[in-house]
Amino acid sequence: MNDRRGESGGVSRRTLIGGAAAGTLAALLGADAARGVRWVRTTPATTPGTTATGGSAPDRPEIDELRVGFAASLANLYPGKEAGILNYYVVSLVSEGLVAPDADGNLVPALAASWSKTSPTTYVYTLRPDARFSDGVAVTVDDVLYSIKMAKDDKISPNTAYYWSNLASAEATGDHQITLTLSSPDVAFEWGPCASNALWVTAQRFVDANTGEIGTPQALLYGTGPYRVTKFEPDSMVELERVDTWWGGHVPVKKVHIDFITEESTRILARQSGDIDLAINISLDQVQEWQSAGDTTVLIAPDRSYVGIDFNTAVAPFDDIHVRRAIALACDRQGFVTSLLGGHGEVATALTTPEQIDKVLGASGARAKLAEVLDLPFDLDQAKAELAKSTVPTGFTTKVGISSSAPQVSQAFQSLKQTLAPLGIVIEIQEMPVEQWFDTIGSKDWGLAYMMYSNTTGDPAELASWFFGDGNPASYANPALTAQMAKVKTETDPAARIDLLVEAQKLALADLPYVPLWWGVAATAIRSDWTVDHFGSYSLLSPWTQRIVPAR
Amino acid sequence: MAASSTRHGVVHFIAVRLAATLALLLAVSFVVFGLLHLTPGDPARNLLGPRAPSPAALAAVRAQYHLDRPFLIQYGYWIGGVLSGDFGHSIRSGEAVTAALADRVQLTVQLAGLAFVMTVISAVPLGVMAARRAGSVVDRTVSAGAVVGVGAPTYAVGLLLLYWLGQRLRWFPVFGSGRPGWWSADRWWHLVLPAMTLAIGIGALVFKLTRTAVLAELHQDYVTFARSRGLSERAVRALVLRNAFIPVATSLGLVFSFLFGGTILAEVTFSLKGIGAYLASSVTFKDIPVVQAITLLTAAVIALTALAVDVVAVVADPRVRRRAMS
Repeated sequence: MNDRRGESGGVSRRTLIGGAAAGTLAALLGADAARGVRWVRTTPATTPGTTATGGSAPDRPEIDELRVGFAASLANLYPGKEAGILNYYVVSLVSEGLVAPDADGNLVPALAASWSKTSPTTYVYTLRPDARFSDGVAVTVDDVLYSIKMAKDDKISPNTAYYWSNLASAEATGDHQITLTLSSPDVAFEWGPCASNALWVTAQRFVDANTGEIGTPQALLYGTGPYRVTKFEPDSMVELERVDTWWGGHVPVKKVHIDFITEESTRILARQSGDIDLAINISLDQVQEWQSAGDTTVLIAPDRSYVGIDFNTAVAPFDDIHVRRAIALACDRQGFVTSLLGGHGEVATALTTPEQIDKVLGASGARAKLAEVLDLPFDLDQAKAELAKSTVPTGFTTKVGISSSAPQVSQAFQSLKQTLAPLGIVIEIQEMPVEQWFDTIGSKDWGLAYMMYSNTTGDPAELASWFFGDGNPASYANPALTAQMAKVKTETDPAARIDLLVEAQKLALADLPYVPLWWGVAATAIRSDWTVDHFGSYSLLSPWTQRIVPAR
Repeated sequence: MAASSTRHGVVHFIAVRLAATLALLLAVSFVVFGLLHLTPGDPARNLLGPRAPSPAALAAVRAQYHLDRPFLIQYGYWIGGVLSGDFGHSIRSGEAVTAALADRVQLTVQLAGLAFVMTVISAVPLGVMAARRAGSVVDRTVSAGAVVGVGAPTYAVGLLLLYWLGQRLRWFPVFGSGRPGWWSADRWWHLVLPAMTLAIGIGALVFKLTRTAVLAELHQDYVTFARSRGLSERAVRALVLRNAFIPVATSLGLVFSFLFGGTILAEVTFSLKGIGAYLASSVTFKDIPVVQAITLLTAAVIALTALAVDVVAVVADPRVRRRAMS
């Protein structure tokens, strides 16, 4: 999924682990009395155990209302129709898939109590018996099958249908059992039936009873999560209310009110005046303003996003490896991270981000592994020598289209433009709305392009399977790579799969169809007496209100 | 007899203008549809996201919205729907265009209306006063203020008001549209700062126009003549104001049209759910039904306001009336 809304990137190697409810209750009571926030000790009805939710801590305070500010507007709440990252943050509170990522990015049960892979192409899911919709009606196997059909339909779910293109059949194989069969083996499929990706279980009777398309104010979401949508005004706000039907038990926040505040200065003022408690995906250019807003803490963590250059290898002069290499050598990637991102990012050495493999290799092991993929110095002399060997030794003129919502990418290309000017390479930079930028990806009219991609799954091959597959934006074909990616698709051992994937990326990036620039971070601002427990790139992709806890 | 013929003339004038307005709207809808067609981008591709969609998926989505049909057929589908009262569904959100627009139009009308009232009650009296005391300290001070008002960017004025009156003094809300409704006090409360933001820029213009119009009338021979005949200053003022009224009323008509179509910066700064920002995002998405509906509506408001201004001029000024009748 591409991060079309609330785009941001930024980084800090800072690990911000929020404290669990500690002995600060009395102080909090005093501090919050004026704002009408009520803190009470509650005991959850049930403890979900090892689930997407992570369970409710026994001393977690009750919050009457959490007021959130989003940096962009939502037009539709159903991610099949509009799949920006902010849509996922809302839907993760209301709807569920069969599985979900926990805060560390491990797949854990959601509506399925358990699942197993009975053959390389067969997955069997067993529904949990206590799963209910927000009105108390039990979830049936038919509901799940109907929801898969919906998510697979190009017209109803244009954004997610392709995730299901490898599904051969979905059938009920028991009262509580569903079997999904694939056309060909694909290890990454496990992430498909997940609310952070491509499945939101709803009921056919709800869809049939509502006129208009699902996700609009006329047909709000109907799901099995801990909240239901009570009000949605596109381009204005969405309001959620806690339900007591969730199998995962009690969540501490009773009501979530999300306002769409597209002007960042206004959002900062809204935080200063106490109108919002939490601002998700703040602009990395304005981290300092947020930090000095008073009574506000900024949390920063890698967000599994990737920014890099795409060359269309079918378009001259980018069909020439020497041209691609000359441009790649002229990229001061460390400079981009230090100067343009203000250190909020990390030089990318591969398409895979460290957070997609650190569960297996650890943080430093993951970086060391990915460093094997591409060792690219910033060296203008070498760049000149490469260009001299090319078909355009004296340089050429080209253009690049950049989304106006990606100012840092624009700055990086401005810098690259200046670096390349002495070599005779002239880059015309055209800023455009994000929708027009889509058209530049893989287009023959745009030999030079860029990609800003946020991975939604924890699958380390998510971006590679697009970038190295058919219809990739670089028009890049390499039979050895295709064979290698086929192995990646079927290898089930995580460590062995990472090895295969790294080999595939080494093989491809030797030809430089893509030049990784940086891995991004996301920043979130929260009132300083609260924090987000275990803040990271997966924190907001499963019922996240229970991770809002008092700061230590 | 004369009154009846005048009334008949005015009705005829309005009927002709309304017919012309309808023709104009039809032309506008066709031109906008054509321009959207020519702009780069494909709404089906936008819906499917940046990943290269399968040809089958692209074809299915394009067929769903008739995007695979020739231009004139697409326009035919759209205009056929409009004539039967159906403005279609937004391609981006799937919401019915009429439902999506209802709230937003209400907000924009309220915002433009409030800004208009603020402009009229502040700028017109100030303009008259400045003209009558032309060259005085008061005139120079207000005129200098107006230069600042015209020059100040809406965005910056909005943020300043937000900071001082919203965040520091806490007199007004910082963002949001409030509870919807024509009579919702909460809604009007939320609109005070944005309306003030718009009124500061546009009010400065109206002030200048009013001042110039009144000043021009004050220098006319009939004023000197009236005074020499010993008419009271009050009677002279009435004469001047009536004559200065036509250019001021014309400018106020333009102001309302401008406000209705120009609220986008205030909407973005104050996170308001109006038609301005909606139009902008719909244009970039190529959400054809929404763009068509908003441009048509805006064109209709502009045309009808212009008509209202002309009717006022016809009724108020016998010279204009004679010309219009002939």
